[in-house]
Amino acid sequence: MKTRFGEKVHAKLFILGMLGLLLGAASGETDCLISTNAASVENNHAGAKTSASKRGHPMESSQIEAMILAKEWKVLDYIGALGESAIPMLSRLLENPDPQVRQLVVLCLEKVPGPKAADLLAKTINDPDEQVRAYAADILLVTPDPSILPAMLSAATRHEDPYIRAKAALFVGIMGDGNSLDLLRQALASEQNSNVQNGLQQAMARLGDPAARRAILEQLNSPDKKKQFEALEKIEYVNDRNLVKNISRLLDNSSPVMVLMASETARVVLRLKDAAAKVIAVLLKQPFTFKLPSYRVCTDAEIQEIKAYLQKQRLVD
Amino acid sequence: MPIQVKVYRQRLGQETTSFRQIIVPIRFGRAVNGAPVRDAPDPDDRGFALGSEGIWRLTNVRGPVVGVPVGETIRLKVLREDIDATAPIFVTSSQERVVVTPITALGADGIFQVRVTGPVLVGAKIEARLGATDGPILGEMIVHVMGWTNVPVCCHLVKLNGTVMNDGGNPVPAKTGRTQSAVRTLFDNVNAIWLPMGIRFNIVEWKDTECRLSTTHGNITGAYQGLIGIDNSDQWWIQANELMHVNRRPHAINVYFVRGTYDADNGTFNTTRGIGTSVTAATDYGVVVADPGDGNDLAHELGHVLNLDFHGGGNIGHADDTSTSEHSRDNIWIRRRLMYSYNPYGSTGDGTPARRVNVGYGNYVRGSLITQKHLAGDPTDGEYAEARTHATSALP
Repeated sequence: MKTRFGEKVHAKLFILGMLGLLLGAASGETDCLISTNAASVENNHAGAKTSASKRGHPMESSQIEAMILAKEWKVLDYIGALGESAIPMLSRLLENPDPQVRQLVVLCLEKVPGPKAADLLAKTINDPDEQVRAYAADILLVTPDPSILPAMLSAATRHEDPYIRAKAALFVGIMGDGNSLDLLRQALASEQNSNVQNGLQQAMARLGDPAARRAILEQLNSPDKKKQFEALEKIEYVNDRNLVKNISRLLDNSSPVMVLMASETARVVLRLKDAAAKVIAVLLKQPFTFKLPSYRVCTDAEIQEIKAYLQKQRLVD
Repeated sequence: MPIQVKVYRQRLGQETTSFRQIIVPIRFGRAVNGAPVRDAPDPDDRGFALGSEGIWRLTNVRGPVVGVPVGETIRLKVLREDIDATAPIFVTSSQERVVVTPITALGADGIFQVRVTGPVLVGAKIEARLGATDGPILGEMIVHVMGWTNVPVCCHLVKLNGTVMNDGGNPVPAKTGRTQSAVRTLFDNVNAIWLPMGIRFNIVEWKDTECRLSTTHGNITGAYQGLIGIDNSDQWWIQANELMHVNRRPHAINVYFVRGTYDADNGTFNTTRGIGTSVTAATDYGVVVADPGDGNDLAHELGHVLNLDFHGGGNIGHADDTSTSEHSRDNIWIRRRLMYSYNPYGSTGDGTPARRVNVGYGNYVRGSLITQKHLAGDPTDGEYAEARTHATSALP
């Protein structure tokens, strides 16, 4: 522990952890024993959350602040319990000169979502540190809040960092309206950066711009498998179940599009049909007997189930 | 002072009456041989062209590129190829914020220092000049300047419960033999390799993770004490993948240190020392490293997390892959790259040229070069841009 205060924090965590151990054992979750420096808990590694703080033992704001200043990432397990009361403290910590502290504060803001957190994140996209402002833009997409739409519209068209412009455009696509669409069109006309152009195009497509949608669908028909894969990712962002019909034919395409995992001699290769299956599952809100929240190789049976479902729902091109 | 410059001529065109002269009196290289050293990065000196990525391509420089984060000082070496050993060589910088020393003629070892004191937009041109700081230019290169990016890492010291396996007559212990101190040392090596990218892997959390894996497939029949089971089936990865779901810290790269790997097909141990999953797989990306793995292995697997060289598309996974075949390249350039498949790579048979046995890091040891340039025709190239993109953003 780096500070005396930190020792006190961890002493408390230890006690809470012991409580968690008892509760975990009582719940019969014995599949996997997981221990951390702060606490030992019994846990099912399929995802059950059993640490003490998550069972309703919030820490004080000052303790949380000390953990953030000590750059202890375990704070992310506890900050959520403070809710919006953490905002003033987090706002103060965003002035800290250490970018790694500000980086952690941005992640803490994700745990206390709402207009106040969004407002702080929107300000943080102007942080002098490239990574801190990138974190802020990424987290805003995870927990988008309509209250900061004007700020993000401005960022999409004027921010000097192209990464922020691209992410802000994606935000506007999620939260914007017809007025936003006009501004995005104007921005696209003058944008030189290809990544930002992509972001603007996707945002416009999500907001219903016919030309932007057409461009994505044309990319889906490209002979280049990599471009087809990129088009699938764009369609997932556009998030319109009507586009499933355009994707369904790819469920027969076994072309490799990307390696997901590798050892020296072996690899896991994602095929175009696996990518299509995942996007379909997301657009249709996971209606199958299995879940596909992220890319993985599907079994033949899973592909067949998706095809049968699409036939039944008349979602086949 | 008499100076001899050898001039090699090469007939390049079809014209018989004219020759194009290529003069390479000096080259720029690593300041050291052997294991990576933090302040002695490996410059990307693959050809004279600067490639299609990086703002430095807008300069007229023809030569290597080396990355240096703001605030760092590195060493490079001028290698005398076709110039007299006593010829005085001076090194200069085009940018005030990129300070080169010595300002006098280089010593016999050819080593000079580059100190970056602040951001530079298009990079600094470094020139080696003959006789004086304003003498004829012998060679040039680019120092690419960037800020630091800190990539958070959660380290798991893993204890795997299961069937006890005997390796060489001794039961394999359940828990990794690595300590926190040993892992920190390992990351010092990793960060030395990644310094030219301005990427620093930063341990933000430790977890003692104990688990009994449950996935099986083919010859992987159950949980093995201390070991991740693999085989040669299409499900070779299932236990590594299962472990990467355990006790995760979101927004960080979860690195699982295990005692070893077990090839359930033939009963051998640690033929695989590391496994890495791309962050683009979203929810379960991470790294599994066996105890025999070294800093180069871990740096390589972390490269996979940052989508190297999966960004080549198709079934390209490593620097030695092409769009049409796996493991089809093993020249000195490829073996010098961190994302080459094999480490150590072993002999390719009698007659292997010495230069391919040792690419500057020791016999049969994979190099640590991560490419700055994006040269045409190589889908695995442009590693700097790909890795930086993922390293800078908030990981899922």
